[in-house]
Amino acid sequence: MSDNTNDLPNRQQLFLNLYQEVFPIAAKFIRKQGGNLEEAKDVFQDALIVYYERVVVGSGKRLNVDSNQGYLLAVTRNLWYKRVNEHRNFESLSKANEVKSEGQETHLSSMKLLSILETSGRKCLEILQSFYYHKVSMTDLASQFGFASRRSATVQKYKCLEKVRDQLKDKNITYEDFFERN
Amino acid sequence: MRTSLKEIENIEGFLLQKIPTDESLVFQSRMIINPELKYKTSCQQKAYEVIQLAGRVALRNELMAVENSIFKKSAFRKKITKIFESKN
Repeated sequence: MSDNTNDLPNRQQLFLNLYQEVFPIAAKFIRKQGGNLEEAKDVFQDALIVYYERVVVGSGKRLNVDSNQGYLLAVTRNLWYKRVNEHRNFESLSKANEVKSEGQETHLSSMKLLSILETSGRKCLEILQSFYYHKVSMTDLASQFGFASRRSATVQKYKCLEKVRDQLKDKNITYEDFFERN
Repeated sequence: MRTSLKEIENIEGFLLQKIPTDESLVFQSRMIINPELKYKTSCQQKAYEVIQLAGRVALRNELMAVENSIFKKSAFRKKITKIFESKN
């Protein structure tokens, strides 16, 4: 949507504005639905991630709403309903099978992720995330990281990607390894 | 650019659909006759997934920092607390 959200200070300002303007409305909705403050925070945080990935840096796929505020609220509502349904389904499944719910949830093993990526070096990690996650253009990336040209930034990006790829190759790590059970 | 990096660039073109359909079909044919290329392509796909997941983890940390900072502001905290104290 906009290039200026690609760096951290601008992203922080964007999120701060969205918390100020949209979170109170989202909180009122979740309160009316019987949710508490912690649930409101969780759902809104997930909605912001969806909003960021789809609208701010994504391909611009939007729901049929005009404003970003409307989009964010629509995502918040959908995520809330999904959460409530999953909770209900999980409860009924637990009762039927007499399965304890505690400790069954999968969580992303961020430490494992970071340990792999950090072997490529801090700068590499930032370059790869900037390009592939935050969708920073190669021209902006070259400027941000002090490369002489777009071409030399591209070469460095591929060198970093090669390091990560080889790390995955050597350790024979699978996608499932990034999730662990508590 | 050295050969191995050129190959990474080609694999990226295929995986991220940056190349036209006919070139993509040629690449798929090359993978059939070259298992090593197929394996490298699979590993590169995993690398993109790892980067994506790590990006999301980092973004969540940024959001938590913003959330913590805004809830430190007394007026905002009171406004939100009031919503959850009120009756439905």
